Amino acid sequence: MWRTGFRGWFYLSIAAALVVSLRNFDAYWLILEMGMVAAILGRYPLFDQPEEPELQRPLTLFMVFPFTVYVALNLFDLGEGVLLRSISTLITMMASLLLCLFLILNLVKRTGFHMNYRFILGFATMTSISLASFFILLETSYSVLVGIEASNDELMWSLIGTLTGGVISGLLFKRDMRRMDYTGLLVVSPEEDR
Amino acid sequence: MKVMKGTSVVFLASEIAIVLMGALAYSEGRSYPGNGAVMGALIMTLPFLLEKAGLFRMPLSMQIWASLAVGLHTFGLLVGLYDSTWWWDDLTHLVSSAMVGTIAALALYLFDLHSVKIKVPRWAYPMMIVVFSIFIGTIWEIAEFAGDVLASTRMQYSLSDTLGDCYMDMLGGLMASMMWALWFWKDRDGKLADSTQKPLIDLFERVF
Repeated sequence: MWRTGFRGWFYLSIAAALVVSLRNFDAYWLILEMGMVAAILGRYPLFDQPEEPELQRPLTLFMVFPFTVYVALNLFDLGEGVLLRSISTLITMMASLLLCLFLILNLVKRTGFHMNYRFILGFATMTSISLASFFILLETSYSVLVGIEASNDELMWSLIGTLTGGVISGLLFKRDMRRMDYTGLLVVSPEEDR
Repeated sequence: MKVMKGTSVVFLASEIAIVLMGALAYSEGRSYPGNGAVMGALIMTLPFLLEKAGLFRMPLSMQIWASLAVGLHTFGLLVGLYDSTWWWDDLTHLVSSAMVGTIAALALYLFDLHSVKIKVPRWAYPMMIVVFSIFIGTIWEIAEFAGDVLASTRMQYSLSDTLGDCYMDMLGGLMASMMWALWFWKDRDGKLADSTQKPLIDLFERVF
């Protein structure tokens, strides 16, 4: 029951987040969602067995929870205030970290690229911060180009939030990464073994 | 350990130039360029000290590049080029970011050589250098902002200046990626592989 329920929540949260991002033209979240949808459809490491016990905490914390909060924040129009903006940044960075982790694990699985768990997580954290910062820069540049009001302080606080959120996400994932048999995750089990 | 002649020459030349610029700034009562020169002089002693301690021998080309980055920054502060010449800030960001990217690539290369668990194929270097450059660029801008807010250093001029700096950092990362993929990677004279000395190799093997 729990397994079916979890899987249902897992898919529903992505579907709802996709609708919200499409409606709001939220390019960054769309990229995160499309990446994760591709990971699920492709049965890639981390996303191929969402009901596995050792994956439930990281997938709940880093995907289902951020996507559900993202939908709730947009549905109830809760974008204002320092606390809500901080939560919004944190969930963005948690989802970003999961996507970057998926990409890196995929590289480790399929190529000659090898790292231990500390390096995989460290590199994924750095990549997620860089990716999110790059999109913040693009968004601010676009605002400047089309004449939407933007200030240096706003940009800097967004970058500070991204860095802080990225580091917190990395620290939150560290425990799961250490406990997880991530080398086992790199082997996608055949359908009949499930 | 004996320091190579090239390292000593670059170290002495850069230290003399930077210390002279710092002294000139202090003599004119300008502490900000003076402090920048002190920081630069301290940074430039690192490769020399690491080689002296027998841990790491930085390839001469990278040491020259680092001296250029520090020298351009200190000179810009001393002469006021950051205020008078619009492209000076972009130039220093480009040179510094390419230097940081190249040093990061060297660190990766040494992990690749001396660690059993970490293997980085050639195609992965450009990607990792660019990611690292964006990351360091972000941290640098946050540090500048913190300096402005906490100590009124006036390092960030405007929104367009900050955006320009960040894009220059990315460009520097791309430049370092290209230099690494086309030139450094070949390591024809073995300078990169030989840069790590035995105590550091032992440390690599113990920790990683």
